[in-house]
Amino acid sequence: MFKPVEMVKVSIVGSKDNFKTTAEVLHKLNVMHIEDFSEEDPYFQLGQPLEGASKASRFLVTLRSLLSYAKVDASYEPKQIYSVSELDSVLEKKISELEGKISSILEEIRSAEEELRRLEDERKVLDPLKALGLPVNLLKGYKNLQVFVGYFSANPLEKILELTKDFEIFISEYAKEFVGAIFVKKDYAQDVFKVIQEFGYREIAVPDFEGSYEERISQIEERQKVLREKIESLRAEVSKLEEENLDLMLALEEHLSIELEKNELPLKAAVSKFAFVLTGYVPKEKFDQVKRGVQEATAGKVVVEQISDEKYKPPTALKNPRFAKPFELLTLTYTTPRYHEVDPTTLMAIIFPLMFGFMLGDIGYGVIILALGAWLKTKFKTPGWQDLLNILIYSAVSTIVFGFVYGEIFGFELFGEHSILAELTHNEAFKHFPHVNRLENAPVILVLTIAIGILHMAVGYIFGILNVAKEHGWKHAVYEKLNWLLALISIGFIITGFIINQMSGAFAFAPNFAYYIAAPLIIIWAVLTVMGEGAMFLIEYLTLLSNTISYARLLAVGLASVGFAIAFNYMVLEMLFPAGIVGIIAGIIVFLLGHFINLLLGILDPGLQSLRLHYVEHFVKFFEGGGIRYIPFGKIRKFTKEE
Amino acid sequence: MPVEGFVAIGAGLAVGLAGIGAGLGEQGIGAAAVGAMAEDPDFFGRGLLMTVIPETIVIFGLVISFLLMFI
Repeated sequence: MFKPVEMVKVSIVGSKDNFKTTAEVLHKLNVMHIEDFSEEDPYFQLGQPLEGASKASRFLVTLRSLLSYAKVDASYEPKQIYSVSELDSVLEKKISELEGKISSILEEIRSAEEELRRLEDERKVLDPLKALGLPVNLLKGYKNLQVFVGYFSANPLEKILELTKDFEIFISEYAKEFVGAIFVKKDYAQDVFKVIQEFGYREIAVPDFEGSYEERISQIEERQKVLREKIESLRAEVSKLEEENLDLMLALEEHLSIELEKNELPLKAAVSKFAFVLTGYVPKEKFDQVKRGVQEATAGKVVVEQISDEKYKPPTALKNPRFAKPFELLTLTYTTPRYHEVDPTTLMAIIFPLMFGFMLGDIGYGVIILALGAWLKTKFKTPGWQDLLNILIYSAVSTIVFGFVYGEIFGFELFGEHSILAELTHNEAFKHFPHVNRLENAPVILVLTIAIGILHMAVGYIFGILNVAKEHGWKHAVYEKLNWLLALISIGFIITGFIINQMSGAFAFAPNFAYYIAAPLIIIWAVLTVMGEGAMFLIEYLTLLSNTISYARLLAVGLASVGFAIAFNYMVLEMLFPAGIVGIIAGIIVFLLGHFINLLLGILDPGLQSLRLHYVEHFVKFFEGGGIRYIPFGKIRKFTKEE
Repeated sequence: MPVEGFVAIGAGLAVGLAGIGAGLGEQGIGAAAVGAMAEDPDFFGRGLLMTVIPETIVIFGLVISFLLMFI
């Protein structure tokens, strides 16, 4: 909670012939975040991949290109799990077999598609040639004549006549243009070509075939049909093959990528003529496990030591209680906390749903969102979705709780003056059930939201003080963060003073005790800020003020949602009362549609606003981020197993 | 003189005009943020943050309208 997993820096040193074993052990343990080695010197240089790497990567390329035709989503569960030794024995044979089968079919598909395209091209020129009316064998194959066949924007006859009379032209209209054939002596070909270019000449490639145009067209259409059917059946064959071998292919892919990872580990290591050095970070509690594991596997020939040097930049592995885990998604979306920074996830896991519920606060909507979240959780299995839906479920529960506090169900009043419960059960007691009516108590809730805001941001500044103190010392913490905490408290007192004056009917800025407390705070803040950050930063006081008022959205969004619901309910009641079957049906439709829209807004808006209050108002007070994500060397096997 | 009506109009204008202002502010930022996100999906968090900054203006309008209506 609030702190990431504690890391220690380790170095692993040994002779090169033990590298492979070390890589195996580390990969299996799956705990070490390995640091890239970057400073080469005459003795230590970046390692070369082990010998298996090139073979593995070659096979992987083939396998992945084959797999790219199969659609597998992340939640796919294999029916069969292969063992590594089993895979190793069939590896080459299976891959070449699969490749042979699948790629020969893919090759056939490609050539069929190619032919299809050629036929389509030919088909396109047949209609204009048919319109021209000359048999195809007359259009080419002359020794002394040049034939120009193509489209023209106008008839070029007159212009060519100016050049020569030794030519023949056939031209006819086709699709708002002209299609024509000009037969001219080769001597004049150049000049004629220049002329017809001015007439927008575009050449038609005359196809080779015997017989009439009609025959050829029907021939082509028949062939196209055959080809299309062929492609379809081949595609079906490929997907059948993929389906049959999917588990095997996925297992091979996983096995090979693990092998590749291990064999490419030297690329992160410093390697001399006979030795290697790996540095990285390991969670403190796992250090012994790594040390023992490596030293046992290599009979003590590889040394694992905890080191401390000036370049201590551990990766961040967030550590939060289980209930708060889903919220790590929201923290990481903002940025990865640095190792020394406070991790706000756990606090967010409590505040976020509370804010959501505070805004939406309706039993009916809460129950629907809860059901929706639970249902979607069975549909979307990827970790990201699961986290998001868990957040939604927490928020729904909080919405129901606040629904009881506000006494609202689908915008109807559950308790109070117009209690529907009292009306349905004829029990007056429900009218006096304790609850808070949001519309009637809006000004009070407004003040409450501001108070929540000040507390929320104050926690942010306290985190900020801790962060800065840890990284740059307490002096900086006082100049950069404590001064702003004082400013925030002063804002709190100013608002209190304002409210007191409003309630007692005095002039808004008439002096009272709250203003007297705020004044010295402002002076201390101003002095600290000018000394620490500079006079320019005094203007930021207004930003802080606007941040504070920003929390009023906690009320605003809720009122908007209640307003919608009440408006729809009012419309429905208007429709129902004159009765009649049409009125009832229309009433039900309006009720469902209205509340559906309001519910959609009710999920989206409180969620986004609550997130925004965290990101913009809360996080900026302390959260700089830009940390390194902890990515251990290793992989959790899903499709394969080791004996 | 009956001022309640004018107060209500004023309250409406405070929220409505502030909303237009916030919308104008957000349109450019939002477009730029979506563009940046298309380049680098990691930008989502910061993009959202920047897009919603002008939104506070509406809340100012809202607070003013509250002060008008209730106090």
